[in-house]
Amino acid sequence: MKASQDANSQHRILVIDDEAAIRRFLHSALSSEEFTLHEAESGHNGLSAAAALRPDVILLDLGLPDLDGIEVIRRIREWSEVPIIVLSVREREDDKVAALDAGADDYLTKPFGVGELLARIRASLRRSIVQSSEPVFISADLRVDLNLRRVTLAGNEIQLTPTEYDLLRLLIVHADKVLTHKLILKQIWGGAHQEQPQVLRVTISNLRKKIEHDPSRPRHITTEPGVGYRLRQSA
Amino acid sequence: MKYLVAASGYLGSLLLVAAATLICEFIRPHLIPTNMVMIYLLAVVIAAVKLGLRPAIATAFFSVLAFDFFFVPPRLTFNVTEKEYLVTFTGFFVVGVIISSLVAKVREQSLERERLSKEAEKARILQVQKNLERALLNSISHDLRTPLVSIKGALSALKDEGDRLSGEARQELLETASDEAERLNRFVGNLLDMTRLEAGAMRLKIEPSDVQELIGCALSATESRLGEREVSVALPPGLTLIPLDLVLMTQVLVNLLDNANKYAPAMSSIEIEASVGSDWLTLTVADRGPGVPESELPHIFDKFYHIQVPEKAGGTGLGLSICRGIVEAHGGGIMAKNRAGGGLVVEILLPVDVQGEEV
Repeated sequence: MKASQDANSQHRILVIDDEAAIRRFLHSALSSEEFTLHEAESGHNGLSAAAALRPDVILLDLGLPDLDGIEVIRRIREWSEVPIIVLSVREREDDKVAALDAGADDYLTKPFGVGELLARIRASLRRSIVQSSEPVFISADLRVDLNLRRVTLAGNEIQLTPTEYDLLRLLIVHADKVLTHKLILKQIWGGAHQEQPQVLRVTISNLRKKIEHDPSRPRHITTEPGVGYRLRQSA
Repeated sequence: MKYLVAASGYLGSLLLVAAATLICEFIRPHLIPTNMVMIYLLAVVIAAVKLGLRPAIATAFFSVLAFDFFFVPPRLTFNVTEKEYLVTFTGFFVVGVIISSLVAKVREQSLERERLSKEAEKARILQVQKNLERALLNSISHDLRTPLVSIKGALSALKDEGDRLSGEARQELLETASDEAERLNRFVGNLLDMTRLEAGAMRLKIEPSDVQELIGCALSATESRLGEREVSVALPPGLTLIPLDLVLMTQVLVNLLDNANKYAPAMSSIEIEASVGSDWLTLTVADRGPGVPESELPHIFDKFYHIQVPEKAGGTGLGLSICRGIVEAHGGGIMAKNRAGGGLVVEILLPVDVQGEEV
């Protein structure tokens, strides 16, 4: 563990990864006026660092030598809501879903670019600071007024079915965060539909036809194959 | 084991002699004993062909004893009243041994030939395998090393000479390193996919999926590489959900798009089309590249197959074979055709009804 809490304006990031090269790269890439970086090279060290440092964001590698990454998430979630971003490789979709279901906020597929990483960190920080979402969501030409239940695309009002609206609202409340199929099904359709991902696919498809300019190239609701959906908020 | 085989050989001779004796007993009323020798001789020949030299000699020996005991008067004793029979015994035994050794020699020769040709075949297969492995290894090390050369070169230039380089040159080096790292990442991904396919470790997670979503995932994954190139998507209205593994089929489309992007002229468009019949979903990816010579078409889905294109090498030779592996794991098929007017079209067929899956 290095660095110290300087000014209060700096966000503390805890990296839990056993690969020294990756910790080194993250350290040089992230240390700035905006962030201070703390490192732990094992799951157990990570858990005690999380308790001692109270970081603002945790970057967690799922393949730790001493402790299963999912277990690390569960133990942190027993006492803290700190945003956890999981770092995982491409072919482990099931691990990502398990991590998200265990309480991780987001994931990044290795290898990743720093721009992408910073975007995820900032989105997580934003979500943890602003708890109640804004009543009006605006992203590019999509505008959703959550109070009036009014959706417009480039100024034109869009008619959504109640289910489509509920789904869109759920995605907006968790904007920029990936939501697993399981979570969406549970939130929108309740427990009974947990085994019917078709319903979700069809609703997403219909929603895209209404709010995307080209449903074959969705810009608002993107698919994370094998994991879930993410609503992107762009300026 | 060896003793067992030997013992079963001698047991075989006893059985043959017993069978010959039974036959002789049946025809005894019609034959004089000397002619029965022919039947015993037949037993010796069978033993020589089927059991080998030693059991055949044993058969000849047992035959003499059985013939003497059962048929040479006085019957049911080993005594011989007519001394002529001693000549029959001796002659029979000698002829039996000669036949045995002749047959055994022929048998051994043919066994040896068989063994030799089997060994030659084995050696040939081994050689083919070795050649293939060498080719794979060459191909892999080439595809791994080429991007690494560029990355290391670019980074060392920046590290050692960075101060002397213009801003433009530095930017170019950085982009080279970044692009090549991306290429390396894709190759390693392909290599892992191939390994998992070959090891049978690729488990399909087949779920009713939206084909438009599938295409969207592939387009989003290739967006940065496709750049300004136009990709048209034509879907029939009201396309139902199709059972497939979204992650793996995305990989298939990504590989096909990357391929089309690599071979087609810069500003030509790529066309993706889907159509559905009662049994199959058809997905096609068509480009306006140079196509593939007809003679090579059947091979382009083979592992590490490179078509001979003079300029622009750098394919891994893995992408299309992974496509085939994944599509076939879905119970589907994949084929390529040259297009009228130039270009290649790759067609994927996926079953609309997967066994045990209700859509």
